Amino acid sequence: MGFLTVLKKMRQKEKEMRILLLGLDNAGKTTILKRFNGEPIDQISPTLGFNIKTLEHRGYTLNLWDVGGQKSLRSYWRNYFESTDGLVWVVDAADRMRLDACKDELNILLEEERLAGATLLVLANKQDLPGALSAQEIKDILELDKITTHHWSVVGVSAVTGDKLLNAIDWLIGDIAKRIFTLD
Amino acid sequence: MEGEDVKTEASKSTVFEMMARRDRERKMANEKNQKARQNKTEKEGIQYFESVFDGKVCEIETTLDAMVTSKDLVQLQEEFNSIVRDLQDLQKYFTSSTFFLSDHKIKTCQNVINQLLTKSDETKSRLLPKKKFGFKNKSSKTKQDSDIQDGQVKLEIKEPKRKEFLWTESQKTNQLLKYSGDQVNNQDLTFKEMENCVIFINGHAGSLQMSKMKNCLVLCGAVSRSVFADNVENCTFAFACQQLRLHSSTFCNIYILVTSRAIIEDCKDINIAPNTYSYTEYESDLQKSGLDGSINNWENVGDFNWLSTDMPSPNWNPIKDDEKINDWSQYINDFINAQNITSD
Repeated sequence: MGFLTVLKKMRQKEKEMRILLLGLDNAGKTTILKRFNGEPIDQISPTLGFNIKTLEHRGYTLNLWDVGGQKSLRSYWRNYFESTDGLVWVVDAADRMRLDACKDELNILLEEERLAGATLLVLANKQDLPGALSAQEIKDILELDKITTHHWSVVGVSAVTGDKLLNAIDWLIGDIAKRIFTLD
Repeated sequence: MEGEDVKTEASKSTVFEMMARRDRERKMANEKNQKARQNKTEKEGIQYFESVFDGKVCEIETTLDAMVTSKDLVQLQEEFNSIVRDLQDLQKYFTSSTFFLSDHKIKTCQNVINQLLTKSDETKSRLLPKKKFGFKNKSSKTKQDSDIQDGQVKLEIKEPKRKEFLWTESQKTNQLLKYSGDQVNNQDLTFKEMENCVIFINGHAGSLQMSKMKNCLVLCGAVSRSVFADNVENCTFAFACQQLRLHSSTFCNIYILVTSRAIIEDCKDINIAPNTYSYTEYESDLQKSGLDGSINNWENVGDFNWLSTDMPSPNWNPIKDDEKINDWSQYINDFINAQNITSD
């Protein structure tokens, strides 16, 4: 195996992106995953473990990991951190009760060294509900402006209607691609 | 005069040239020395790293192997916590050393750490009964740690402009509340800190959230998506929904139609039965909510504190037939009288 073959193999592998969907329970992670993959969303039940989806998008192979957000499962999140390119933090924008918990959990993740290189996409989900906070409000409450360690963006989406979801994911992929496929 | 000038000029330039050459030589020699020194320290660094890393790995492995079942669960938990801390330290040490390690070395070391993590998790699930996984301890621990770490930062910029949130209703006692029509349909309803209240919700809501409820009766039509409740005590609920998530709650009776499934976490004494509560427009509300009324997975309750599949969770029970509420209007009247409730 020559040097070029090795390089080629690496490049093929590099076209893959590993994206981790995390957030408190009831945020809509599985719904986002299924909506993005074009699956029906009306039979989704609370995630007791995790879901993985591999799909092709804009020429990249995306490995999407959706890990349950129940309190008891959060301690397992770290098992999924390794070689993550993008972190999607899903927020239930209508869940006012737990925004503090949401902020705390996100801050813990941002200190995680194994996620240090990952791009962060915050989705203010459930924009279809009248009581949902806007992306701007979520940004203020989670104090995203203070994040200097990661590339980040916040988008208000609705997994149920699919509104703005694709744009948000496209931004994430674009940012990751810029960072890790600079050879192109 | 001129000739002499030229001569001195020429000798000057040779002197400069010589000086420049010597300077170059000196620099080159310096560089060479430096490189040699660097190589040496690099090698020493790697060797040192290897010995420390291997030592720690060995130490953690021996501790793990020596762990045995013990009656004292708290102590066992403590021991596991200390192993986790050791592992984290090891990971930190390794990560901070990666800049002088070869790619291969980084990969093998990371594998070693991962294996240790899995091993510690395995040992833990073997020795500690599943119910006492100790998530709470752990998560609160990490939270505390991070709080301490950035405590200073947090204090300085605490809550610059926190918005006032509007709850559908909060902090009410002994009241009768009714919601219907546009107040309900496709809306997200939120209740907090209610005590001794009766809440009627007629219509098809988008979602329903309840927190810190005590001794309340909540009778709701259909909820298109999820019902989320935490810290609920001694309450009776009736509703149709897609998902139910119930956290940290005790002594609840829940009459439910759920099309996907219900989950409970950190709950005790929860009684569940298929929904029997109804009102005139209930069927049409159910239809408008988009829920499939022919499906009811009320019995398929996922308990995050009970992972065994061959034994039913002790934290919830189906309501026995003779204990079910059959006459709802009678029950509601009795409840209202007993709580001395006034209509708002």
